[in-house]
Amino acid sequence: MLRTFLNFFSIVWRSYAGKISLIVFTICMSLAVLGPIAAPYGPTERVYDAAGNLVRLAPPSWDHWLGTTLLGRDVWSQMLWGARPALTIGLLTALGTVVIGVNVGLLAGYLGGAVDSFLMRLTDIFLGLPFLPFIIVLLSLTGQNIWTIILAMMAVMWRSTARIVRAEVLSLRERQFIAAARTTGASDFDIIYREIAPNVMPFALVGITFALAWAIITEASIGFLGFGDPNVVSWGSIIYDAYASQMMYRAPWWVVPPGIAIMILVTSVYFMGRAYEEVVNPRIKQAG
Amino acid sequence: MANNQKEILLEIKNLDAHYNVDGQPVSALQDVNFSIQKGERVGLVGESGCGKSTLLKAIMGVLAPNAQITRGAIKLHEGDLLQASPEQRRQSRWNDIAMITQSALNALNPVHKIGDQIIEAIQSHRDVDRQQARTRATELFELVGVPPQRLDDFPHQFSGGMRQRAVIAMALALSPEIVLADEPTTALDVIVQDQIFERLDLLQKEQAFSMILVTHDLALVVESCSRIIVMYAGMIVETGPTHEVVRRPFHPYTAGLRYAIPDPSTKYEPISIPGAPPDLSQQINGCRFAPRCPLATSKCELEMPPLVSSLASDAARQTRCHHADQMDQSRDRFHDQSFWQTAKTTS
Amino acid sequence: MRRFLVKRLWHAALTLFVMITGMFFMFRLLPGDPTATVISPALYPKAQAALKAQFGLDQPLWMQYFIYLKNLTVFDFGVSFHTLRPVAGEIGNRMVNTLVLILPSMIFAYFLGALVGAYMAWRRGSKAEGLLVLLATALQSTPVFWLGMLAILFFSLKLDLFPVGHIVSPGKFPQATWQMYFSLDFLHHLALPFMVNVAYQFCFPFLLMRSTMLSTIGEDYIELARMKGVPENKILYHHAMRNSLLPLATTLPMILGWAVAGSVVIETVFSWPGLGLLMVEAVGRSDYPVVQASFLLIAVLTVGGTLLADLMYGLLDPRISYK
Ligand SMILES: Nc1ncnc2c1ncn2[C@@H]1O[C@H](COP(=O)(O)OP(=O)(O)OP(=O)(O)O)[C@@H](O)[C@H]1O
Ligand SMILES: [Mg+2]
Repeated sequence: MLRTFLNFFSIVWRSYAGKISLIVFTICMSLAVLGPIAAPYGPTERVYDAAGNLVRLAPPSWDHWLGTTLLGRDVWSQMLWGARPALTIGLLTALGTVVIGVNVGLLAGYLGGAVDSFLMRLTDIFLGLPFLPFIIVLLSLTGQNIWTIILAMMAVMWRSTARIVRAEVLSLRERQFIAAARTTGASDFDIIYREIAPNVMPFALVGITFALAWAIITEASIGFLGFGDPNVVSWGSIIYDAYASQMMYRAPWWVVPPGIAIMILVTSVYFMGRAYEEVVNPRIKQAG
Repeated sequence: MANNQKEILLEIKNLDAHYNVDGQPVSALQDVNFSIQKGERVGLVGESGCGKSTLLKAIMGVLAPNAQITRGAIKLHEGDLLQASPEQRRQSRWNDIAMITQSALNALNPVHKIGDQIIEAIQSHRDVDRQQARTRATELFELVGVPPQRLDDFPHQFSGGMRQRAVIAMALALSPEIVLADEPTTALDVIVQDQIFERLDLLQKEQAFSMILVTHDLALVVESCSRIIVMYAGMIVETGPTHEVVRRPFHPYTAGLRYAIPDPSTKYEPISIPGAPPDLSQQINGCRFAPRCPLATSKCELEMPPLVSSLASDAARQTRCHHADQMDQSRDRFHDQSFWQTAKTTS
Repeated sequence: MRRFLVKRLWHAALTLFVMITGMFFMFRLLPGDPTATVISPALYPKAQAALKAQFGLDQPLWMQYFIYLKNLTVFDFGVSFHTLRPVAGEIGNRMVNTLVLILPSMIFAYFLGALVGAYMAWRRGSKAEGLLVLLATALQSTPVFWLGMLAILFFSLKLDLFPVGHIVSPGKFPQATWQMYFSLDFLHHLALPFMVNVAYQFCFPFLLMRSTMLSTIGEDYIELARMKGVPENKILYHHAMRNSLLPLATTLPMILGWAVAGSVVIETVFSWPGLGLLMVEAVGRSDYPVVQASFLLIAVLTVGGTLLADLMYGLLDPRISYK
C-alpha cells in the first residue's frame, strides 16, 4: 500500500510533465500548510490606512501585492488562506471517494451475482445523477459547512472509480493466483483484501488524482453558487465575493488570482494523474 | 545457370537502417544486398528480431516513424524507390509490390466491410468505378476460395483462415509483380496453414509473381522457395539456392538453424544455438555472430566479414564468414551441442 | 436488439424512479423545514392549516408521495411556493432556454475537439501538439464560471461587444415566444456564453480524440492501408478517424447530459434564464416544488443522455450484436 503510494511519486517524477506538476503541486501543498502563517492579514481582516480609512478596492501595490477587496480585505492574504480549504476539501473528498469506489468495485466484481447487479444498478443510478444540482440540493438541506460539502461530493463521485475497479477485478478473478488462494481455503475477505486489492491500487491512485481535480473545481463551483461554508475563505468564495460585489470591472486583481491558482493547481493534478496512468495502464502507454 | 538470364525485378543495395530509441540509434539493417528475379520465390529466415519485417517494410516504404534509412538503394526496375517522391511511392505501393502482413488477423479494419477494403485498394490506384472494382473483388474471393457473397461481411464475422485469405485476395488485387509474405500463417492452426500455403503456391504458379516468404519454418522454405536468405542481427549472413544452402551451409549460424530441426534421416539429435543476439544499440565492429560462434577467432571480433562468394563454382552462393572455408571440414561438429557450448559467451 | 433496447429503457426508467423517490423523501425527511418559507410559523394555526391543506401538506407522507407520483404522470409538478403558480407553466420555457445554449455549443465543441484532436494526433510530437494539450488541460482545470467572468470582464465590460448577461434585452420580448430565439438580440446575448461553453467543453473531446487516435494510428490496419497506397488524407479520415470516432460519438450524449447538469454554473454567471439558474434560485428560496421539478428535468436529460450513449455504441460498432 505504502509502496504503491511512493511508487506513484517515482513514476510521476520520471516524465518531464510529471516532474513539473509534482513541483507545482508540492508548492501548493506547502502554501496550504504554511500560507496562513505567512499571510500578512487574516482572511476576513479589514485593512485601514494610517488615517483610519478602510482601504477599499486598492490596486496591487507594495503593501497589498494583489490589492484589496470591496470590504478592504487583502487579496494576497486571502489567497494564502484559501489554499488550505481547497486542498483539504479536495484531498479528503478524493480519499473518501476512492475508498467507497474501490470497495464497491471489489465487492461487485468479486462476489458477482445479485450483489454485483445491485451495486452496478446503484452505480448506474449515481452516474445518471446530475452532479452539481444534486450537491446543491443536498447542501441546502443539510446546511453548509466543509463537512457536508465533503460528504455531498463523496456521495456522487465514487461512481467512476467503482466501475473501473470492478472491470479490473473481473479480469483478475480468473487469474491463477486467485484460484490458488481459493483452493487453499482462504476466506473471501482475505482474497478480496489481501490478494485482489493490492492489484487494483494503481487504479485507485489514478482515481484519487482525477477525483482530486474534480473535487477542487467542484468545491470552487459550490462556493461560487453561494453554497460554500460561509465561515471559510476559499478560492471559490473569493471569486463569489468578487462576483456578488459587482465590482469585477473595477477590481480585476480580485477575480483573476484565485481562478489562476485553481487552474494551476488542477492542471498539475491532471498531469500527475496522466503521467502515472500512462505507465501503469499499458494500453495508454502504447498509444503515446 | 539458367536463372542468370532472367530479368532482375528488385534489387536492394547496401541498405542500412536503424530505429531511434530514446534518442539513440539502434541498428536494424546493416549492409543488406540482394535481388529478386521475375517469378522467383525467395525464403527469408532468421531468429525473431533479426530484422525481417523491418526489411520488408523498408521495401514497402512503411517503416515506423522512428526508423531511418541511412544508406543504400531499393531499385525496382532500375528506379530507386528511396529517391521517388511520396506520391510516386504511394502509387507504386500495392500496384508493383504488395504485402501480406505478419499480423494479418488484425490487418483488416474492423469497422469497414471486407469487400470495401479490397475495393479501396483497387480504387486507390485504378480509375474504375465501384461496380468494376467489386467485380474484381468477387473474382479475387473466388481465387482465394472464399464465397463472394461474404464480401459484405465485417472482419469479425470471418474466421482466422478466412481473414488470411481475404488479405491474400487483397494483395493480389492489382496483380503486383512482387508479393512480400511476412509469416502469413503464424496465428493459424496447422491444417489451415497448409491449406493457405497450397493456395498461395497455386496462385504464385498461375500468376507468376515474385515472392519473398518470411517464415520460421525452414522446411517450408525448402519445400517452396528456390532461393534462401539467412539473416542474423540485421545482416544477411548467407544466401544461395535453398537445397544447396541447407545441404551444405557455409555459415555457422545457418548450420545452427539447419541442425536445430530434427532430421530422422540422420543419427544426430537436434541442437539449439546457445546465447542471444547482440545488443544493436552498441557499435559492433566485428562479426555480429562471433560471440555465439564456436569457430570465432580474434579476427572475427575485430573485423566484419564481407558477404562474398563462398563457392567458386556457384556465384549465387554467398556467405559472410571469415571461416567459410573451414566449414567443409568442421560441418559435422555443428551437430554436437557440446561444440556449440565452446563459443566465447557460452563456455 | 429488441431485448437490449427494452433492458436499457427499463434501467433508465428505474434510475429516474429512484431519483424521483429519493428527491421526494430527501426534502421531507432531512432536517430543515422547507415549508417554513411559505407557511410562516407566525401565522395563526388555523391559517397555517389552511395553507397546508392547499399545498396538500396535511396528508400523511406516503399519501403525499402517491399524489406526487400521480400528478407527475400528467406533468403536474405542483405549485411554486414563491410565485404560487403551477410550476409546469414556467419550467418548459426554461428547459428550452437551457437547451438552446447547451446543445449547439456542445455539438460545436465536439466537432471542433474531434477535428483538432485527430489532426494533432496525426502530427504527434510536434510543438503545436504539446502546446494544445497543455492549453486544453489548463482550460479543463479552469472553473467555467471564472472563465465566464473573465469573458464578461473583457468582451462585455472592456470592449463592450456583448451584453453582460440575460437571454434578450429587458422589455424586448415581454412574452416569451419562439420568435425570440430567432432575433438578432437573442444571438447577441447567446454569443458570449456560447463561446465560453465551447472553450470549456472543447477539452474533453479534444483530449479523448487525440489519445484514441494515437492508439488507432499504431494499429495494423492503418499500416495495411498505407501499404495499399491509400492517400494519406484518406487514411486519416476514412481509417484512423472513423475508427477513433466510436468512443467519442458514444460519449457525446452522456457528456451532453452532464453539460446540462453543469448549466447551473454557466447560467448563473450569465444570468441565463434556464433550468440551472431556475434551480439555483429556487434552492435559495426553498421553493421545493420548483427545485424538484427542475432537478427532475435535468435528471431526465442526463439519464436520457446516458441511455442514448449506450444505444449509439451498439449502432456504431459492428462488433456489438446485442446478445
Ligand atoms: N518501431 C520500432 N522501434 C524500435 N525498435 C523496433 C521497432 N520495430 C522493430 N524494432 C526492433 O527492430 C528489430 C527487428 O525487428 P523486426 O520486427 O524487423 O524483426 P523480425 O525479424 O520481423 O522478428 P519476428 O520474427 O519476431 O517478426 C527488433 O529488435 C525490434 O525490437
Ligand atoms: Mg517480423
